[in-house]
Amino acid sequence: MTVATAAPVLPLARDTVERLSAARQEPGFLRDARLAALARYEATAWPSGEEEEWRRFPLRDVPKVDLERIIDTAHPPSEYTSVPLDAARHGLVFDRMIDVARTHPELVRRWLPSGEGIGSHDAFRALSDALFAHGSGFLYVPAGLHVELPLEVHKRWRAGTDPIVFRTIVVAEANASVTLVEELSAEPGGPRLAVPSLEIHAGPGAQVRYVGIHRFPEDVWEIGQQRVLSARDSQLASFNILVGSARTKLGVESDIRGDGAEVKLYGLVAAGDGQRIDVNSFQRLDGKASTSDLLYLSALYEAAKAVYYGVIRVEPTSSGTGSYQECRNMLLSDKASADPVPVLEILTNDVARCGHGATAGALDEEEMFYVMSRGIERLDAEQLLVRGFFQRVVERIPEPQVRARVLAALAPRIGRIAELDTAAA
Amino acid sequence: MATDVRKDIPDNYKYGWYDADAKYVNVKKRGLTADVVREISQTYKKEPQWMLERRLKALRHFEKRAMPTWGADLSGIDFEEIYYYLKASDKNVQSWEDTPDYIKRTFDKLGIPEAEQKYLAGVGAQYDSEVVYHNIRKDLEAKGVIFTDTDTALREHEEIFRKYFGTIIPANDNKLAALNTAVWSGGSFVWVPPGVDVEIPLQAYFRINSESAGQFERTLIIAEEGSKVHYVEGCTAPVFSTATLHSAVVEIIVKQGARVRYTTIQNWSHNVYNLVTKRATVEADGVMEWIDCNLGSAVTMKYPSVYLVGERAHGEVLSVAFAADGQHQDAGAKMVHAAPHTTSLITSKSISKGSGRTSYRGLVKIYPGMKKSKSTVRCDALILDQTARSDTYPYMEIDEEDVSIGHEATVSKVGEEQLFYLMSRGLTEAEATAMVVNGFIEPIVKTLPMDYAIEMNRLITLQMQGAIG
Repeated sequence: MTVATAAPVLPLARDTVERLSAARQEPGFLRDARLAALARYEATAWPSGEEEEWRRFPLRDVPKVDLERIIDTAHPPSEYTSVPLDAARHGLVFDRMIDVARTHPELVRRWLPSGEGIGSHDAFRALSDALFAHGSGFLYVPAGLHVELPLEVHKRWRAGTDPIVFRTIVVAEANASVTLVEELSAEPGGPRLAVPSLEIHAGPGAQVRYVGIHRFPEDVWEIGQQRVLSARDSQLASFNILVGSARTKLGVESDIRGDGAEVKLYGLVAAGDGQRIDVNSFQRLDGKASTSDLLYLSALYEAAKAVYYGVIRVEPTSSGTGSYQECRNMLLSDKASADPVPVLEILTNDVARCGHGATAGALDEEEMFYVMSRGIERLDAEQLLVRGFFQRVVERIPEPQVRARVLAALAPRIGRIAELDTAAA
Repeated sequence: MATDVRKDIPDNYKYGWYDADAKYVNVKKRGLTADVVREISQTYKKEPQWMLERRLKALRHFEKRAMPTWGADLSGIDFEEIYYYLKASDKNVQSWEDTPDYIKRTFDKLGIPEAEQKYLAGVGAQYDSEVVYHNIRKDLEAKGVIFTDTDTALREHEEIFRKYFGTIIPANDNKLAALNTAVWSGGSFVWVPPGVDVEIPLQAYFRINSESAGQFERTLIIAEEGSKVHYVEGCTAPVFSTATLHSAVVEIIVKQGARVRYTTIQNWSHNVYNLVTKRATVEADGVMEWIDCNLGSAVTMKYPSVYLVGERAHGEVLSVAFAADGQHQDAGAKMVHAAPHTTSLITSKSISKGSGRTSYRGLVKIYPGMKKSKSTVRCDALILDQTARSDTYPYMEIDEEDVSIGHEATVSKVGEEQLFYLMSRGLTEAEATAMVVNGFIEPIVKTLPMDYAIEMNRLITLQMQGAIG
C-alpha cells in the first residue's frame, strides 16, 4: 500500500552536486557538506503520504523537474538587499551564502549543519542541503548588536523550469536584535519546484523577527521547511505571508530549549483559483516558563483550499510553559475549503496554559449588513472585513514599511483595501 | 460466595470479583476459524443461512484487514488467545426469580434490582455472551416497543432485523467491526414505533466474566418517525490477569423527527481492551445524543459517530474519559454533515492521572453544499500528575463555505488555590481533588439519570483515592 501511494523521488546525481559546487567555486568544506547531504538524500525516503503532515498534500503530482538544471547559471535571481551603512563595522554579516563562505568560512562552517527537524521533511531538508544555490543567504548578528532598521531582501527568479533551491540561515548571538524581511517571487513560465529552507538561531536574550513573503507564480510548487531554535530568554517572531504558488507545503518547526523563551509564529494565507496551501507546524516546549503561540489566518477565494496540521508538544521535563495554537479560516466562495487540525500532546501537568482553537466559516452576515448599511458596496464591504480579519497579525509587525510590503503582497488577492494601513495611526 | 482478586490489581477496584461457580454450557475453545463461526451461528444459535453467510464474509474481511496503526497501542491483543463464544446458561428466562443464583449475585453487586425497583423500563443484562435476563414492562409492550436481546430479535423479528442489520456499520468498515460481525452474540435490539415516546430509560448491563472471554455484543436501535427513546448501557467487569477484548458494534437509526439518547458508563477492569464502533444516522429534524463515560479498561478506542443525513438534523456527543495509571483512553467523536442546516456539538472532558493518558480524537466533516451547517467542538483536559499525559487530535474537513465551525481546547491542572481552599475546610487532599474533578465533569454528569450520576461521582472518588491514599 505504501509503495503504491509513494511519490516518485526526483533523482539527484553526484555529478550534479559536484558540478554545482565547482561552478560556484566553493571552498572544500561546502562541497563536502553537500556530498554528505546527498548521501542523506539517497538514504531518505520521500514522504509516503501516510504521514499526518503529508496526508492531504498531493505529492505524487509534484512537477517532474530535472534537478540537474539547477547548474544553469544563466538565470540568477535578482536580489535587492539594503544593508545598514556601517553595521558591517560592528560585525554584522548579511550576504549571499557563497560570499560569506569565502569571507567568513568559520561562521558558515559552524552554522551550516541543518540538524534535525520534523522527521517527514527529512528528504527535502537533505535536498536543500545538497543543492542550495542562488538565493541562499546568511545573516549573522554578533552579540549585543541591535540592528535598528529591518534588513530586506527580494529574491526574484527569472522565468524558467530550473528548480529553485536555497537556504537562509539567520544567527542572532546573545542579546542581539534584528528583523529580516525576505520576499520570494519568480517570473511565470513552466512548471517549477521551489524548495526554500530557513533556519533561525536565537541566542540567549536575542530578539529576532522574520517576515517571509511567499508570492511565487501559479506554476510553482513550493515545498519549504523552517526551523527556529530558541535559547533562554530569547524572543522570536516569524511571519509567513503565503499568497503564491499552485501548491505550497510549508513545515514550520519551533524548538524551545532554554528557560523563559518566547516564540510567536504567525501566518497569513490569501489564496484563490485552485491553490492549495498546506502548512504543518511543530511547537516543542521544554525548560521553564517558556511560551509558544501560533496564529494562522486564511482567506480563501474561489476553489482554494487551506490545510493546517500542527502539533504542540509539551515535554515532561518542562515546567510552567504556556502555548496556544489558533487557526482561523474565512471561506469566501462556495468552492473554498479548509482542513484545520490542531493537535496537543502534553506530557506533564506542570503547564501554565495550553490550548488551541480552530474555526472555519463564511463572512459574518451581520457584520456585512452593518458595513453595507453604512453605504458601502458588497464587494468593498467584503474586502474591508477580510482586511479586518487579517489585522490581528498585521498589527504585530511594528515597522510601517514592512507592514506596507505585506499589505501590498496581499492586495492582488484581497483587494486594494488591503493596502489601508490602519496600524500606522 | 467465591471472590478472587488477583494481587496485581489495585484493592480499590470495586467490581473486581468473579463467580468461580459460573457454569459454561459449551466447551471453551480459543481462537477464531470458519468452524468456530459456523458453530456459533448454527450449533448454538440455529440462525438462518443468510446470517451465517454474513458472518463468514465478515470473517474474511477480518482476516484481510490490518489493525489500525493510529491511536492506542494494541500490540497486547492476541486474537488466538480469545474465546469467541461463551454461554453461561442455555435458556433465556423472563422473570427475575428464575434467574440462576450465581448470576443474581453478580447483579446484586451491581445494584440492578434496586435500579429496577425505581424506574427500570426493562433490563437486558448481558452476562458473558448471552442475554440471560430480560424483562420488559407491560406498558412498553402495549405501545408496541420491541426491547429484547439481539439474538431473540433475529429469531422473532427477522424481517425488521434483516432490513437494518449492518446497514450503518458494514462488516468491512474496519477490522474490529468485521470481527464483531463474524462472532457477535447478544446485545440489545430496540425498535420504537412511529410517534411513541419511551418516557423511561431502557437499560442493559454488560459484563465480561471469563478469562480471555471476548465480548462482541451487537446493538441495533431503530427509532421510527417522531419517536423518542433513551438507552442506558452500564459496564463493569471483574478483574482477570490476561488481556480481555471487548469489541462491540452499536448501530442506531434515527428517523425523521425522532430523538435518541444513548448513555454509556464504561468501567471495565484495567486489563480490558475496549475497541468499540458506534454510529448513528439521523434523518431530517432528528436528534442523536451520545453520552459516553469511559473510566475503566487498559485501552479504550471509541469514537461515537453521527451521520447527519437529513436537513436540520442535530448530533451531540458528550464524552468523559478518565485514565489512571497505565490506562490509555483514546476516545472522541465524529460528526459527518451530509445535509444542509445540520448542527453538531461535541463536548469532551478528560482527566489523566499517574501514568495515565487521555487522547481526544475527533473528526468534523462538512460535505460541499451543506449550507448553514454549524459545528462546535469543545475539549477540556485536566492533568492531575506530572507524569500524566493528555493529547488532542481534532480533525476538521470543511468543504463548504456557508458554515460555522469552531473548535476549542484547554488543558489545565488542579489549582493549588482550589486545593488549599477546600483543604482549609477540613477535606483531605484526595477528597479535595475528587471534588474538583467532579466539578470539572459536572456539566456532563448532570445529563445522566440520577442513579448513574451518583455512581459516576462515586467511581471518580474511588479512582482518586486509589491515587493518593
